[in-house]
Amino acid sequence: MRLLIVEDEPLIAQRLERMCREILGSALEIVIHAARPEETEVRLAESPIDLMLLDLNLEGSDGMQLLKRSVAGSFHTIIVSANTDRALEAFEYGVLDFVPKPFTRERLAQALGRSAGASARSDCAAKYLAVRKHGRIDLVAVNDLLYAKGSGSYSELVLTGGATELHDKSLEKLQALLPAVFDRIHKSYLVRMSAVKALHASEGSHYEAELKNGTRLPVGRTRYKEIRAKLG
Amino acid sequence: MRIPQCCFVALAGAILSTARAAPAADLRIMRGDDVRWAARDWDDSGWPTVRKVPGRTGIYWVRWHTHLGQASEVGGGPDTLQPEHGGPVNAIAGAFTCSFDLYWDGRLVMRNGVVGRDRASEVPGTLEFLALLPGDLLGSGEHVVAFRISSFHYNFTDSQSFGIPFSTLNYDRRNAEYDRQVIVPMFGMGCALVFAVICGVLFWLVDRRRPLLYCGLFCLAVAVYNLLVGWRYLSWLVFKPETYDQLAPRYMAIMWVMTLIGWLLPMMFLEQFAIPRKRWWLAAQGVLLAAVWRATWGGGTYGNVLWQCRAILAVSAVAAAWAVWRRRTGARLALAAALIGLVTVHRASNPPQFLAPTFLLTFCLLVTAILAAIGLQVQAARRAARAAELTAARMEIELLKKNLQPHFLLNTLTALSEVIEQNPSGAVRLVNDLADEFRSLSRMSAEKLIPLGQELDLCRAHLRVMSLRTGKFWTLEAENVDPAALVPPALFLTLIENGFAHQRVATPAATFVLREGDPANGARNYTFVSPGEVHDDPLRTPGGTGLRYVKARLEESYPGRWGFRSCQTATGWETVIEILAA
Repeated sequence: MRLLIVEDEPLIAQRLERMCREILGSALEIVIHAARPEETEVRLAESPIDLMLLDLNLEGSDGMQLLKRSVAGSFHTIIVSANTDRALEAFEYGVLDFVPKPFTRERLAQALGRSAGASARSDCAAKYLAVRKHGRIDLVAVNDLLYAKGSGSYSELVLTGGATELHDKSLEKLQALLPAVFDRIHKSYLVRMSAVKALHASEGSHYEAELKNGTRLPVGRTRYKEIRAKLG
Repeated sequence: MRIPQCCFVALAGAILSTARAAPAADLRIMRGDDVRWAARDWDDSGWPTVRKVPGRTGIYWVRWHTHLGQASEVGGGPDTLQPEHGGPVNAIAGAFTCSFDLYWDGRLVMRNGVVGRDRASEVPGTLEFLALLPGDLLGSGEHVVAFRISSFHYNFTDSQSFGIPFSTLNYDRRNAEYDRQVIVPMFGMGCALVFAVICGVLFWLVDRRRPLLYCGLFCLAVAVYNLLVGWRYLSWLVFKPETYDQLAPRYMAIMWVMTLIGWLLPMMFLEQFAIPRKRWWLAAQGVLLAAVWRATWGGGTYGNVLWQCRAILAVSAVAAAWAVWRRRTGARLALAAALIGLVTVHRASNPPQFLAPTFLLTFCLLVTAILAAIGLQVQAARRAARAAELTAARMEIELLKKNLQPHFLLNTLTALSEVIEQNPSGAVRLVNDLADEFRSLSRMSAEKLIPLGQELDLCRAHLRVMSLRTGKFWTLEAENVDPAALVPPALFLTLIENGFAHQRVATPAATFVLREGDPANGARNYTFVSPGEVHDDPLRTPGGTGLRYVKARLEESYPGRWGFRSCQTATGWETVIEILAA
């Protein structure tokens, strides 16, 4: 795992790194530090990361702006901050966890465990997904999302109006942030279950889910029974 | 004496100006003293006729042939009681500035004072007189009234002669008429006294505003004016009737009380509406009143009072108009009152009064306007005081918030957790520094001002904590400061916090600097420099919570006499705070 710690206080950054090394052991490949928003942008541009630990108050700067830019990235973000009153807002933008200061090793381990686990879900589902578009960051309301199609390290978001957007996170990472109304019907599809009209089975164990707008999406053979049970 | 002379001249003028031409043949005068001259059938055809009778001379007799219900028509005007009171004629009444014996058809019906051959032997009679006529001498046909007169106490020095207005009338109706005459001035005096008491109570117990004092004095002056005006009737009905030698001083007093009112009313307006250049206004008022005195010289007390009143109301109306223009609270009502007064105040001619009852209405309106304006001002001041109290409470809460600022505390605790695990002895130091800072803050939280030395201790404790947290060495240098000088609490601590929030220091050590400039005229100025470069944060808003706290604290302790400016310099961010002398 490649970890970026964004923290302006050296003692706290030191504590985070020490604890992460103890918790993750050999799984932690590299730890990068940044103390300011500009420095963070530079570090992110230099090398890809898997997880960012972000303080919301960096030398007087509002980390929320940095957060809005970083959640569009392919990595997960965990907030480590004393500003607990902004936790809900942070979750809305799609952070995986919010670790309040001062923190214990156990609490940090729990947050790091979430980022490692494939089926982990955030405590609070995101309300927006950040997408990069023409060099800027746009926010897409999760309420408008019909389904997401995985495409390697990124996802294609299909909205209820038919529009599509590209999101930098993998389908696994996206599933961790989205609310429980979204289910994985196929290794490449994450669907809002309330939008499914019917399930169809055809020859050769080929299954499809028909959405209310007529779109047909493949259903994984191993997931078919579970999906049918959920739809009742 | 100059002043009484002025009044005498004025009174004489009044009498002259208002007198209707008397039939010269009717009133016959004879110097000397012979009781036979009282007889009805005494032949007075050889006596000279006059319009007025002489003052301060020996005894003389005046005879008049009349019919019942007829007025003498001599020296009429304000002092004349008109005969239209109604009812059967059974009395004779008038107002003379002399002592006299009154004979009706040869029979003595009244002695008013004691007629004397010189000033020592004369006892002044009452100004007003009313005598019942003998029932057996009230038949139809001609009657003869004879007065035996001496007037050594006649004190209108400007004039040597005076009118003797009288008439035959009904006794009861005449008394009833006097009852009515006393109502307006007495009601006016009562109102003015009540207002004066209200103003006095408000001044002593509620709010010592100068306009209240002027308003109270103005009401008192109006009460005195009404008492003087009504005294003629009041003394007749309630006390010992006024003697004729008291008339001149009373008239003089009335004119001067109106001049006093003429000073108090504009002063009240000038003070209440904070009108500048008071001296000029009062000078203009003085010139105007002097012009009135001059113009009414010899024109009578009534004219003097009326025109003084008009001049006062005119100046007050102009002052109120200025106040309306400058949007002073309550000025419109005051202007309306002055204008209403200007339009309505006049002198009623029959029955004669100094000012018509509209003066009472004008006076009530003026005082109500001033009291309302004062009330509104007091209300505004109370609101401001309440707001100041709230500000003080809010400031205390702000300071306590600094004390318990969660972000600072939680970050410090997080840093402390690390120090405890990695460097226990450093942890003890950090805990002590933190305790020092909190102790200082809690000690000063309820104070409005603290010694600068305490403030510097607080700042240094904070910098020690921040040094450990940030891994840099922060210090504070104080140059040329007086540690005993008083400053609002956490003033410079807030500037340090702002420095941490908005500036970045690249070096491993940095110093905040506080310099006190040389005092000039009791003013102090502090220059505070935060080290480092202001970082480019697009969200930074000018005048954030920190600066609001600093400015609110300065305003709380030095209202309207402090300055604050800040700018970037080569060494950092410089803030200059100026505190002017009280």
